[in-house]
Amino acid sequence: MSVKVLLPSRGRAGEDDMETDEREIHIVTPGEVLTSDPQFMRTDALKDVVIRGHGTYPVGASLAACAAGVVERVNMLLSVRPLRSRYHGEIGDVVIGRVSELGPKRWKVDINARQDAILLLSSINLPGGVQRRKNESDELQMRTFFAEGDLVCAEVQTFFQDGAASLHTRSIKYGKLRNGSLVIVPSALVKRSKSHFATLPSGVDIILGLNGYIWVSKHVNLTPEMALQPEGFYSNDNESISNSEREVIARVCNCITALGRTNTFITDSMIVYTFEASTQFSVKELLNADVQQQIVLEARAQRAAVTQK
Amino acid sequence: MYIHMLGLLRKKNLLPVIIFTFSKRKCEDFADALVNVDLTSGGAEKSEIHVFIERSLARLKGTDRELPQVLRMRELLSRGIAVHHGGLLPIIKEMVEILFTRGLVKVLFATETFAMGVNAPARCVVFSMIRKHDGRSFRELLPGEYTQMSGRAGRRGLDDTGVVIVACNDDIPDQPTLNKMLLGVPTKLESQFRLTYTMILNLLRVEALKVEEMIKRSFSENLSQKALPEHQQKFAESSKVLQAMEKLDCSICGLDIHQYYDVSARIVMLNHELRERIVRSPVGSKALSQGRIVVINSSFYRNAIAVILRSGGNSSQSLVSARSTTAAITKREGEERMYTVLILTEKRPVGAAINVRDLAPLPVDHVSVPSPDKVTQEVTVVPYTDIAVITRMQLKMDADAILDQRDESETSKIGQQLLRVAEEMHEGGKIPENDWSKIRELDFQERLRDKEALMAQLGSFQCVRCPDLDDHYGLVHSERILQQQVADLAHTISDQNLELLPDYHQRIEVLKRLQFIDEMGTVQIKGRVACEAKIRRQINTADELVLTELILENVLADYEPAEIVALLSCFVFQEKSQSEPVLTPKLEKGVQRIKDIALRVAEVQYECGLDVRKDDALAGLKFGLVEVVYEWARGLPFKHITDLTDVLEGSIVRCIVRLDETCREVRGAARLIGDANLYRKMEEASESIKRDIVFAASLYF
Repeated sequence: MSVKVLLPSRGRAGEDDMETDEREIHIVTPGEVLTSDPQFMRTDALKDVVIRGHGTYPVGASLAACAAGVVERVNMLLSVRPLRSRYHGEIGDVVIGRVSELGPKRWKVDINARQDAILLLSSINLPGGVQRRKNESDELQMRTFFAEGDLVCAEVQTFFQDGAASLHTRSIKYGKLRNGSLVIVPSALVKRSKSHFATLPSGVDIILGLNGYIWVSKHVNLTPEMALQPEGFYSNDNESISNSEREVIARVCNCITALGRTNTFITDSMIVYTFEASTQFSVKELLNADVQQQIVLEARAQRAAVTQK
Repeated sequence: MYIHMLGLLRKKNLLPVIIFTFSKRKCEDFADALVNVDLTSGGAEKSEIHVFIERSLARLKGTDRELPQVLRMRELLSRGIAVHHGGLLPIIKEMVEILFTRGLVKVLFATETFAMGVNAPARCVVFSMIRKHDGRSFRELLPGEYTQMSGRAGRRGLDDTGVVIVACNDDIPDQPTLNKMLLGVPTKLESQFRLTYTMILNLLRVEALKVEEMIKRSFSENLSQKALPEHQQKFAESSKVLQAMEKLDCSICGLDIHQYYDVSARIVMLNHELRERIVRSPVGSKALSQGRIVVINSSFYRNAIAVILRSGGNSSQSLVSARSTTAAITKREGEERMYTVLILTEKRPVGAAINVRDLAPLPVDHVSVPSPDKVTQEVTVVPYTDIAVITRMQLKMDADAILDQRDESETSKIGQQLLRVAEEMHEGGKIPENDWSKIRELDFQERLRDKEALMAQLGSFQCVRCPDLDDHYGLVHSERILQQQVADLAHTISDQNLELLPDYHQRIEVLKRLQFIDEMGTVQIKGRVACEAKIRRQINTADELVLTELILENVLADYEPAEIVALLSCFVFQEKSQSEPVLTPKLEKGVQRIKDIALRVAEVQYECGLDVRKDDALAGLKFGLVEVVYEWARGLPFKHITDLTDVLEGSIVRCIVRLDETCREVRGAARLIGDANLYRKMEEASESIKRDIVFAASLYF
């Protein structure tokens, strides 16, 4: 019987390993007093001058952190952004979720947050055109649109009083996902940016869900007419995907997993660099921790080179 | 006055009647003037009115039932008279509306707002005046407004016709005014679409929407967007033509004909500007007098030498002295000045004009000498724009003789002289221009110098040696024009042509500077807080920004809930108030801080190019109700509130109701940033203002 032994991972390789936003960061642990900046100490009690934001609590006359993370300051607002926490949504975020249950005129979607999000029947595009009126038969046929276990790409529209997000899929880019594979990474690694839909040069589409769910799929050209086709939009059948395409998709998935394991920010350019660095290995080898370390280091180096230019 | 009118209307059975008065105070005055007038028809109606009022007021607290407004309205209503305007308490307004629709109110003194929204037509409508103040000026009613208000006359199913009366007292309006009001065109639909910061922030949050798309869809862009397909087609066509055009292929010209074109174009433009000034100056008009030799350049005459016979076009006009006074000159500034000239030119078949390409801007640096056998003189009238050069030379001549066509010999003599001068100039190689040093304006002299410098350059170009210069020049000219057209069309159909786009970019700049969005345009936490605030007063203010700064500067932390809500009233209260509120020192400090923040935001806006002035920003914040709201939040009964200020009760109630909305928004913002303190305070503040008559339930539900 052969046993595969992995080399011990090389450990933290210094400052290059830490992902930062190129700002001065101040990391705190729970219980640490936040600041002794004289500007804040106008009065005796720090807690009365600044706004106690999320992740802080008053202890004595000063403010302490109650989460492990980075201190953020906006005007007089001091808060601590935790390094790793459940996804906390904002209005306008693109998320990917899995339908967990059906209810009256709505679906419950798991988006890796503290609560399941709600997708209302009135928030989806019914096949047959945008302006189609809902009728009772739609309510009875909800499973033909989304059934339990389906993957959905949606946008956060608003929040309910209890904090649950309300989603909508009112665009051709959102809706049921097919022809691909899901990768789960820590949600903090996906940053908000201009666009979360990208096509990689290798010929795959990716959707970067801000809740940490990333969808890698075969490339499809989206046209507005497709929204009008009733059958295509909610179909459960994949198109035929060739073996080479499958391999590319699998490789990209493993690259993203690698990025997630090494706590690297995930953007489409970073995925491309990692993909290029990974071509020397087979797809299966990419699951090894030291291989992952190596390709991520190469990708980071390339990114640094590009940003310096 | 209305007593008599009401008597008349009653006799003619034209009640119920709405009397539109455009001032709240006048409404009250008119109603008060109707003492002892009882329009109800008997006890049944009176008791019905009484019962209804009792039931409506049952939901009010004890002290509120004794409010002066309530008592007054009860008294009036019991006699069948009512008043309706924005200064009334909402519950009273609803009472009046319901009673009116039931027919229990016979005469109603109302302002314009009654005409919209409330479904309450009457048998007769009276206009107590046809002029009103619309917030900016005192003007007559617009046709649309008149139609809306007079349309209230005549109830469907109950009346055959509706009667409209204009009660003009002593000043009867004249017919044109009435004509315009009654028959005029209703106001055109104008887009009120304005970019607000909240809108921009909300759009930036969502990935799927672009602000440019939103702007394109607004009504203000409607006209330009409708013409879009047309423009796109023209653009495609012009581009194709440009591609297909024959390119210049000359070994001599090809080197620098484009620069030559640029220089020539500049010379021609300078010349044009110079000529404008010359014609308008006294020196110029003196020069353009009888006998002056000029060179004409127009579609008919190319570089032809001529002599001015007189200024003015019409031969039947009396002779206008060349030494016109300044007054006469300024009077003619708007018109094109014409000159009668005698031109030396070649015989040509009538009607032949030189081709279009000769209109290419070619500077006049030589005179064309007609060949001796074809030379002829013509007397014609030319606009001053055709005079290319005014030379230094003058001929002594008898213009009248030529004009009257009495003397052929004079004409031919002058023609000979012109020909000689032309030949001299041609030999000399340049045209001696008149000395303009007497014109003292600085930019004139500068332009003159520029032009002379450029003209000196002309000779140094290679392409002048080319024999086919004219043709090639024409080619370049048409190519350039087409290029310009294509560029213009490209601009028109592009996104850059949206009218609101510069405004949008400026606002984005403001948001970036205040750190509401980051460099990439992603919305930051400040931006998200601003989205919570949906206040809007006037267009150019940045209330949402000021409120966000207020929250994030932790200004509100020092204040009690009652004080907070009092300070926030400056964002919702919009009317003028004469009385100055008396504030505690703490409130004064708060007011001052809000003003500081507003000034700061206005400054940033101004720096980014928005049309916002500091006094606008401050004038927009009205602190008239701070004291009132403070006392109300602390529990003072409504009766005592009205004593504190001269603002009408209705406005106070409206302001406080909207404040509740604002409290909710600030609460949402507090939850967003995690400020539990502020959240709690806003909750308390909301509770403290939500009571009694201000939040009395509506009668309609």
